Amino acid sequence: MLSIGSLAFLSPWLLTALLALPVLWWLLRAIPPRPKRERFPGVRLLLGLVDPERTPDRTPWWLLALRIALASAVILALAEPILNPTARLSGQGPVLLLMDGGWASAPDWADRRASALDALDQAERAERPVALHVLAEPIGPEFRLDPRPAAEWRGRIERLTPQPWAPDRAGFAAWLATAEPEFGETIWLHDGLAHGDGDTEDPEQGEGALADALLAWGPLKLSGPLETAIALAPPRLQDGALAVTALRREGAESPAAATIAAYGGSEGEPERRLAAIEVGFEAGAAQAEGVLDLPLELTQRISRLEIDGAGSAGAVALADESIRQLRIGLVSAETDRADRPLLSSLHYLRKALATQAQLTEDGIVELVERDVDSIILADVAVVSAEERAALTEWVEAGGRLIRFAGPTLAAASLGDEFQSGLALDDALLPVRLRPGGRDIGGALAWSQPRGLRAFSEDSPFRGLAPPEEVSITRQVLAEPDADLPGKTWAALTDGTPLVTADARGAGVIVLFHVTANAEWSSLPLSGLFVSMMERIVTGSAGFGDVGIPEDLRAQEWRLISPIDGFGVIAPAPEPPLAARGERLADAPPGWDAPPGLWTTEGAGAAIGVIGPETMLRSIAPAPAGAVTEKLGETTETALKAPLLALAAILLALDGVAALAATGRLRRRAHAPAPLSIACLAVAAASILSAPAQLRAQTEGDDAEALYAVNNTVLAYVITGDAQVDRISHAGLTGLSRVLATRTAVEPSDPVGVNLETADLSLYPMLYWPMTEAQPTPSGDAAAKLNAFMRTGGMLVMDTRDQHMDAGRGGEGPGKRALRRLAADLNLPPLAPVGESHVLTRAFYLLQDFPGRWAGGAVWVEAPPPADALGRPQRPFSATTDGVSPVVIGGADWAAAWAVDESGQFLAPVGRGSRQREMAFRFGVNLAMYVLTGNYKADQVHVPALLERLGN
Amino acid sequence: MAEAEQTERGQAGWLRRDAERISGALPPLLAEAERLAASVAQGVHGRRLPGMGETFWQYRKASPGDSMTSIDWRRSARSDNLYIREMEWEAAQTVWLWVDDARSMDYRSEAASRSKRDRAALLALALGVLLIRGGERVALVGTDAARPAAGETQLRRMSGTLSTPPDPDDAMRPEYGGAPRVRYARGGKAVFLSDFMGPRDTVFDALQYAADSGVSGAYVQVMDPWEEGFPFDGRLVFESMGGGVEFETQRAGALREAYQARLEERRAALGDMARRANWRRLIHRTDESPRKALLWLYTTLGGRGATPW
Repeated sequence: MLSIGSLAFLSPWLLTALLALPVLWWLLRAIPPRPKRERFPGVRLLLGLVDPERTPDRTPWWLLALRIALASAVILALAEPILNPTARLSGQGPVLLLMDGGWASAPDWADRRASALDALDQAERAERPVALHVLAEPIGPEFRLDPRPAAEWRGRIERLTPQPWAPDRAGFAAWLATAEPEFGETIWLHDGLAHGDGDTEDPEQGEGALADALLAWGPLKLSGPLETAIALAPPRLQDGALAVTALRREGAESPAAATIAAYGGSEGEPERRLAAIEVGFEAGAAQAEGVLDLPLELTQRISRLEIDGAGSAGAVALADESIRQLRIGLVSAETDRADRPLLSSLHYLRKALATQAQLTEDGIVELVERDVDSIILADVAVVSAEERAALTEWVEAGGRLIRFAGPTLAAASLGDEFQSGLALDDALLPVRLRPGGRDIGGALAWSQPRGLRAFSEDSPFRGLAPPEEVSITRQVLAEPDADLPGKTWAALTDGTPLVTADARGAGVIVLFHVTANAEWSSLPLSGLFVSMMERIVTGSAGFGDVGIPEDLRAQEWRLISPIDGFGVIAPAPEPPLAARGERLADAPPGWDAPPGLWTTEGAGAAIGVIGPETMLRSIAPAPAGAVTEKLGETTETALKAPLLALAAILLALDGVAALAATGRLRRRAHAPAPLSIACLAVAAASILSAPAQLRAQTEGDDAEALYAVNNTVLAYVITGDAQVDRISHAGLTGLSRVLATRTAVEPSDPVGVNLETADLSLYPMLYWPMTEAQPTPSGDAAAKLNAFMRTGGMLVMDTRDQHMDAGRGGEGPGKRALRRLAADLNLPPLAPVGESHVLTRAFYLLQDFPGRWAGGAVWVEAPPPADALGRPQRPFSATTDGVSPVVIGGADWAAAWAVDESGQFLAPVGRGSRQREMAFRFGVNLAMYVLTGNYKADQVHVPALLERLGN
Repeated sequence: MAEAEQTERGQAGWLRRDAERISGALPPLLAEAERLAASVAQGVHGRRLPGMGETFWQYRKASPGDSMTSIDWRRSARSDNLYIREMEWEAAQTVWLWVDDARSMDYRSEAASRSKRDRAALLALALGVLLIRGGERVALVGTDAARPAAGETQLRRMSGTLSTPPDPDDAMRPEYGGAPRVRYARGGKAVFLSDFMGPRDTVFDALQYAADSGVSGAYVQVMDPWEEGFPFDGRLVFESMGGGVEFETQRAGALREAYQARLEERRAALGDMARRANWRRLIHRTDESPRKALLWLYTTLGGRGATPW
């Protein structure tokens, strides 16, 4: 196949004929069109006349051009040009169909499925077996490729859904290196992204390696998406707002936009969209960042963030505690006095922060270990060396330490080691404190209590209005160092610092120079206090890693809320899925640790496909020799027919032109014009012949409908499997003959119906053998089947695998197919045919219902529940006359009934003729049952009636 | 016994057979010719001359020299004069018809529905029908019916000859025809139906011979519309119907004027010939109605046309 851009030629060698065009040109030029011979009696009168003008004996240039164009069109058409060619199967032996099947495949999953089905079709046409492997599925020690006829994979591919984790290409490449699978060609539907990152795989050993390895086995076709999936990085809390980052493939050029939406709800309230933000990818940028600035309370209600319309697990970030909860540790030196809560040093802090954060009261070291965002020390000066070290490290790492003054701190500042226990550590205070403190407006002081000065523009509290009633009576004082004004966030009217702060590494230490209760000032009583606290702590949120805390790594975690490949939150798996913390923390999500919300004792973590460090990289470029194509691109267009049509039109034109050139096209003659128009019309008709076919089909449908309406016709579903369909036809033929000889029912020849196109309402009964390979009925077909059953039709579904699950208890292939094919049907509740069911006595009295296989239950609609007296509680449905809309069994009845043209039985049945006879009797009963309804149901009640008569 | 039965059966059989023979033998050409003749005969009446005949024409007073036997005594008895009963002149005249059967007469262009020969045969036969019904003796020269005769038999003979289409592949047929030199009875009439497209000498010598023989009559030049219009253009090789004459041209359209001039010249020559020989000439195109030509022929032959002949 020769490709030029999006054009390819299937028989490129024919193009060499184009080289002959100059010769043709020369020939055509040299040989003018033959003069027409005209018989004309008047010729004698012409003799001796001389042509007044001579035209050259050359073909006119336009006729030449026309003929060259005609020849070119024919040559090009025969070279079978194809626009947007999809690569065809080219190798030998089984075809390996590889699908990534990871989260990045989810956005264009429908295209992928179609593409895979298309590949199956191709393989089926080429009669080559197919082995399917989804890279996202685990490769166990037992793993092997399983080449089967292409049709058998169809059901599996239709059912296939993407997994919420990344495909394991390296694993498959490794398996490929050791195993010796048999296949001669690979079609790989990849997602266009590299998934080799992560610490367990060597990026070098990822995609490139797999493609190279596959190429070694035979031709390789790589189908990538037009657009690779975009993803959402785990959100972070940054300065109290939610920082979100959308990711796309590195190296993507064009600008793009994505809308990131936050969803959440409180208890008992359905999840709803809380906010959305549009982020734009700059040209060439792989990240697009945005900030969702929501009120703190709303931020905490967020349960997940999602990129609108992305539809993959990678575009969903579940919110866990790392964004949902500000965690604040409270430490107080005193013990709580339950009887005097208002005096507690923490009371006002609790009240101020309760709605905004998760408050923990614990020891300093424990809080640091728990990685809280802020630690509030209310008049705690006693900081041991161990605590000091922990706190220092934590603050350096971004912790926010908020301290309140108090008697203890004041004492410590005096250097009273007895009272403070240890020397006051300057490092954990923003300023140096002057020994002691000051009393303003005390009983023995001259001065009045001071109010607050307006906040400066540098202060985090800017914009807050200090209420006048706030007064400070006691405080600790800072040493007036040179950098004191810079550290001051709030000051009294006289300029004395009230709140000072100092950055330490990534964190900050804040000191309130008053107590956290109302003892030293009325500040904690004012609304200002709440606002100030909120500003301080929200600035603190969002540091530290998401995920599994160190101390819980050894724990067993349980998955409580998984997300599927499309990013939809699924119910918790049953049985519960558990994994060690280390697995969750150390390796990317996989089949053994799917993404979702995980929980363990007292802690929870959201594990997403996308980690904080994840960058999306393009898949390694296809190795030389591999064919690449884009999924969902415009499908290939064969240009042969249009070119031939063009050639035909040119030929017609050439005819007209030749006539014109030789002067046979007379101005007054009307014959040639209709001729050329007719030629054009024929050409046009040949191109647009579809409506005619359609009409023909409609007429065919009418004939079928008339046949079905005018006769009693048994029908079977065409499964596409020629053998099964032949048996179905032969079986119903046999049954029809038996019905005609033994009963008043005289059916005509049975017909096969195509579920997708046929009008099912014309048939009383539809025999439907289950095969693995038949396609799942479309929505329309399922709706038709449902209407068929609702309006009195009977569907006889035969799984034909009775012999396969006898004794083994497993599921035969027919039952699997039944499960799949009947998924969309409104089947009523089913029950095995009981002893007194009408089906057992509609014509013959039967105990069992054998077909080719004996034994096994036959399932019909469950009888309505009976009341205490044994009478049915609800009358039989009026529309179906009590006939079960469906009969399901596995005895392969058609095979037992099947006869050929001469009346010979086609399939061996049991031993002797009894079983076949019984099968026929069942068939007769079935036909009687569907045609006469509950007519024989009365017989069921005969014993009861006799008994009543007897009494 | 057997004879009587045969006779009885024979009479009915003959009747039937004859009826069938008559209707069946009536060739389409004859039927058509009779239809055509009937349409013409309606508008034309007898000779309007007293003479030998069976139809009463007039009474006239007997004049000296009339034979006694010719006096109609019954009429004369009703008046004082003697009357002579005169019959309409019905003396049979001999009309020689010639239908050119050369190959050039086979020509039929797309613009015409009949070939020239077909049209000529139709005209000849229709004229024959009219003449024979009028009691004349008709001869179709150059054919089986070449001996002048009257009656249905002659008509049937003529129609048989004319209905047989000439073999197009007959190599013996000439490309162009000339009137055959037969022995014409002096005072007879002749009608030549041809295209007169042949070599000048052939055509005019034959005409001269006929004129010299003392017959008078009409030339009917049967032409195809294309022969007049010459609607050809482009590169063409013209060939005669038998392929014997060829002429190649690069642009036929440019020759139209010259061709038509030559055609006019030929017609003028024909007209001159007719005038000199006291004949009449008709140009008939095959896309015209044959009735027009037949009417002209009939009046020319039988009526007292303006031109005496």
